[in-house]
Amino acid sequence: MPRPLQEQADPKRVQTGVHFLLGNYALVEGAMSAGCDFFAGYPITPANEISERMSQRLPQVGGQFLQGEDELASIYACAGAALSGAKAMTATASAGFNYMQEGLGYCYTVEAPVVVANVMRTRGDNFATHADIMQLRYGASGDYEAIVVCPSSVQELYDYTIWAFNLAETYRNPVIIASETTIALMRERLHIPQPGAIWLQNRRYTEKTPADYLPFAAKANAAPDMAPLAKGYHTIYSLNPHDEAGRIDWDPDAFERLYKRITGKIRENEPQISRVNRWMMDDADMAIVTYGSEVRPAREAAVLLREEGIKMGVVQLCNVWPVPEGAIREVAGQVGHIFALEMNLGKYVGEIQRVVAGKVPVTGLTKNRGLVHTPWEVVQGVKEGVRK
Amino acid sequence: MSEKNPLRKYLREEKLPHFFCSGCGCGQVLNYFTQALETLQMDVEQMLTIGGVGCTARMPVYLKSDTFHGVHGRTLAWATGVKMHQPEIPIVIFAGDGDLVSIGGNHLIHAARRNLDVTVIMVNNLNFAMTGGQVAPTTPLGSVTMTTPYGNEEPAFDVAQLAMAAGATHVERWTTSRPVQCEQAIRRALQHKGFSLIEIVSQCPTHFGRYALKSGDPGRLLKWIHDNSYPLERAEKMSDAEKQGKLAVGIFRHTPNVQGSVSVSQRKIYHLGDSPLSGKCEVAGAAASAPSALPYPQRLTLSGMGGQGIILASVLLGTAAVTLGGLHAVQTQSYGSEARGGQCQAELIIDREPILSPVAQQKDLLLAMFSEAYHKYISALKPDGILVYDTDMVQPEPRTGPTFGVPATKTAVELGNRLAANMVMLGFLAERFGIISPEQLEQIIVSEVDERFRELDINAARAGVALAKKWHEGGE
Repeated sequence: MPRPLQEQADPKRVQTGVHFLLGNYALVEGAMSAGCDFFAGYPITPANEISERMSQRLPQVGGQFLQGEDELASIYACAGAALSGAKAMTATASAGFNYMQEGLGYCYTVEAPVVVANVMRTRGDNFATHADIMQLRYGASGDYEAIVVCPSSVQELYDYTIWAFNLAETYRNPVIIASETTIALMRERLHIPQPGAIWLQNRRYTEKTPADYLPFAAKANAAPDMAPLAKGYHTIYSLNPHDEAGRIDWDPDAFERLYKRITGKIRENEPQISRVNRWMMDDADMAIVTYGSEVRPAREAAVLLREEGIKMGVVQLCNVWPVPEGAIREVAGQVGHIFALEMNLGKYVGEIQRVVAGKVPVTGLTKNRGLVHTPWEVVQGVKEGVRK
Repeated sequence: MSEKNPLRKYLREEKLPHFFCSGCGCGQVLNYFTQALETLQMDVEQMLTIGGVGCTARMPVYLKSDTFHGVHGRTLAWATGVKMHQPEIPIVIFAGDGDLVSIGGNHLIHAARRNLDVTVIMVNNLNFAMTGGQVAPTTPLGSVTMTTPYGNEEPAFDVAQLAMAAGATHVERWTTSRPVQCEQAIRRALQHKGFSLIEIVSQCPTHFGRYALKSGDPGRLLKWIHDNSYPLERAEKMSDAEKQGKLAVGIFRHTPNVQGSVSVSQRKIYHLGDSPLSGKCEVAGAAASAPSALPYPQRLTLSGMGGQGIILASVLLGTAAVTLGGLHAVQTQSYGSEARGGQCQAELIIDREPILSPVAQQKDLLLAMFSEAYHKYISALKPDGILVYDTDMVQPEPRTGPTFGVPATKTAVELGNRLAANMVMLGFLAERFGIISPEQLEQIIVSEVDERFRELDINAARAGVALAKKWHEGGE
């Protein structure tokens, strides 16, 4: 039986209360609250606690857990489960995410709603990094748009995982949770609300008969309605270009129409998808625009800078893809200088510069030393940036 | 006008004619499959058929079923996900030899090992055909292909033996020259509960035929395949020389279920409490209100060696502070190889407000239970910060800040287990510095610690509290 389009979380899955919980566990609890009923993953640190807890939690609610023989098996098992009706999820870390790009490409094209947690880490060890921020968006071949959410705390790992499932179901698109060592292996206060306070979005199923059903026909900028699997709707879910009926079709008109729709449903809904958090922005002369755990030192740095008379504000991009362009443009209209803070040698700063388009200076504050910036490093970076 | 073939009802009429080359075996296999459906009266519309990439992989696209298609080698991975979520959906996979045993080889052996309840029909045309006739893992030794112009130097996979070794419960091999046997084999596979592999050796007139066998004539190729195979039951009477370079055909294995294998689609449902591992969150407390005064110290490093329970101590302290004290806390720790033997540390920050930067440059308190750890972390302790050390394990340098030597290991040994030294320390910290109260500490031990160690740990914590009280009364 398909789930209703909207529903409250199942009380049997929600461990309401205040916890002191590991980030990876909080993500699992978020998935449990969101109704995840299929998980497949391949061992890799620092994401193992996700698989381990999933292997305990899912069988308690009738869900299925698979340790795949590799990352490819895991992502494709998720695709299969998602197309057969499951809310499916996998988890990996940077090097393992490389392998999953192939399967993600399939999910984008056939519009399979899967959630992928990528706990970003350095090559070969568990040091924290934001080095994957572009491969999260551009890794697979083909034309598509990614949705990537960036939690900055254990609480947000829980909250954003529910958000990720809701987005995946709404847009029938893979959604990636860009976790990172900093928060994944951190224990922190987590408040899990009452199940009645958690609203879940589910994919829309067709009301049409098989004779009238077109599996990939959709309203402009929307996901198509799904049909139950193996119930007479004879749909072809092919990576190859296909028309609205699902027929493999290399007619350029047909496949450009497909690619325009699967990118359009994300691009055109960017304002609906995007969320930002703002601190100390009301009177700010400058702003740090950042994502993930870098939000934490950014907020401390802003306080320190204000003590020295520099009116700094902070903007957290809760999703980095699609780029929250409206919000970034608004910041550019408000302050005289933007600092893009990230834990790599300068990647997302290019996106911010693209959106700001020279209106105000955008300075990248970079670090790739396995640790989140300290507030003092941010303060120093800002001061140097202002002097230039 | 001739009557319409009744088997066309299983096909997507609008997709015809199909794209296979003239004389290709894929059309024959599609025919055998639809014949088997007809005989068994199975409804193709209630099935999922899967094809990866390649000539054979295109077969399901002509069937009036739901179909996954277009990714090379991942057919069984898809099927695993579907079968685990909806075990009742019948799944048939059409895969070429390249798709199934070259790029998809790992998935094949694992699906067979799991006895995944699917039917795999592998059309083995002995080469990569769709890409233009390159060598495959199934290409016979010595064959000339587009990438073995001097002859194939690698031996070929015996796919049926491979699948059996991995645990497949139903394995047959036939050739397109044996139509009746092929149709019967597919029928047996469709009725089999568990992993079935039907390998059908097939002619490829466009590539393998022309390059390796120097003929594009389907009839001659069919005869070559037939002549280079022999029925399994005749094997015993044949010499090794007679069998050389030829493939046995027949039913290799047909068992309802091999002992010891469990189909992934038959997994049990477990209930809360069934697992010997804890599936609960660490203590769900009501949101207690935070005390008005900040506890001191706020930034702690707990350090020692692997096995002393340093991490557990930090988790208990943080859990009590958050769930019982209404505070915020952030705990980070050494992990990986560092946490397995050698020195280890956990860092804990406790505050009334949410904690931002997770790493404190300067610590208010260092707990040192191991000499190496003391030397590593003492530099991050503020000059006026508090040092608490285990008198049996650490000999600190003289310093001006407050310093407390606690005989934690000695006390734990007296209580019967040196592993309880961490709890002695927690008792001391709770009583002396009030981060959490001794009552909260006991409460958290009761809810979090394994029953076997509970009594010991509570006694150790109480001993730590007593040591701290003695300190209040006038030193060590």
